[in-house]
Amino acid sequence: MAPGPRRGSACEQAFYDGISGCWQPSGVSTTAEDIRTKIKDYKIPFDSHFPNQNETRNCWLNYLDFHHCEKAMTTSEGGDVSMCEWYQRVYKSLCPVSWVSAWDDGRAEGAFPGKI
Amino acid sequence: MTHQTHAFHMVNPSPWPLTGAFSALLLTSGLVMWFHYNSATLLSLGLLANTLTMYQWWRDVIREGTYQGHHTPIVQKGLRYGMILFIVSEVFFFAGFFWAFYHSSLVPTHDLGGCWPPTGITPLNPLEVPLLNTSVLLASGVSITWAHHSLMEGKRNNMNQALLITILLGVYFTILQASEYFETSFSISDGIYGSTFFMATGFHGLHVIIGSTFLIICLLRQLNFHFTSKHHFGFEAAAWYWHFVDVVWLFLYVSIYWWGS
Repeated sequence: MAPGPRRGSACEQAFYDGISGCWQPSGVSTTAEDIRTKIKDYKIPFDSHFPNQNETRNCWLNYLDFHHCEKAMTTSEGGDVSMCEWYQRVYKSLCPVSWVSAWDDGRAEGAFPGKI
Repeated sequence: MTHQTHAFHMVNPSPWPLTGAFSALLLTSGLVMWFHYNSATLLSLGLLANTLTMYQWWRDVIREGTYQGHHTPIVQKGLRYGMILFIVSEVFFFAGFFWAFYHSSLVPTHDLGGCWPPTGITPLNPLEVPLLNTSVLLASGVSITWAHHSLMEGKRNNMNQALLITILLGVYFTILQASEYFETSFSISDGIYGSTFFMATGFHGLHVIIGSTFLIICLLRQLNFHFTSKHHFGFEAAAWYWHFVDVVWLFLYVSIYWWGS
């Protein structure tokens, strides 16, 4: 169950709040500034979808979500890739660098196991 | 007193347990040599020793029971308990492989793509040969029941025919499954999917071969008039084993072939 905006949605009104694990009501959009405040000092806040010590799934799903979001924003009209920044910050912070580079290479070669 | 005053069977000393244990040593060390050092000598010796032990041990059981009359009702009861316990142990053996399958497939890891079947694996269509295999084994369950009832009713021709049909269906299953093994686009080394698929279905196939062999022995004994309508435990044991093999297949089909696709 991936957190974050639904695939293919415009995402311009509601924004997923990673902290409480629930949708913010429309009209309360989190800006880039807020993101920076929330993950000051590179601390990713607690996500209740991943309560345990093992962060593998957290890393994996945020990596997937960023790329889903990026694909949706770039292929739809009026899509704004900056909306995807949250996921990118989370995965870049959480995921081992070697995994990220292996996955990036995999995506380039068509060998990435996840569906994007 | 020069004769026993109880109905149990005090078996004469026999070398076969020792040769059997020795064959087990040769088989295990032989597998190691074959896997790691590309040498089949020990393994071949082990297979030979094992086959000879099985042949001679069970030949002796047949001599003691059918020719010498040692298998009284209480002895037969013990043999029944033995076969049941053996089959229970086989159930636990397969339970391990099913555990491995469900562990891996219910929560697929990210390196598989978080999905089952994993990314890149094209499973076999469960509605093609696997479904045929299911019908073949189910039919063999019917024919073996027919054979049993014919035996109990003293219908010799029917029994021979039905047992032969059961064996032919078993062989047919083995041939079909072997051809399916060639058809798969994946092998045992294709990740956890390949491992769980071939370990579970592979051991099942081995048990089909074992069961078919047991049934062939029963057919030979039947043709030589070993069984009576009231006393034919060897056949019953083979039938129990055959039904067990069928049930394992049903679980395999539903879990791995159907749900797992």
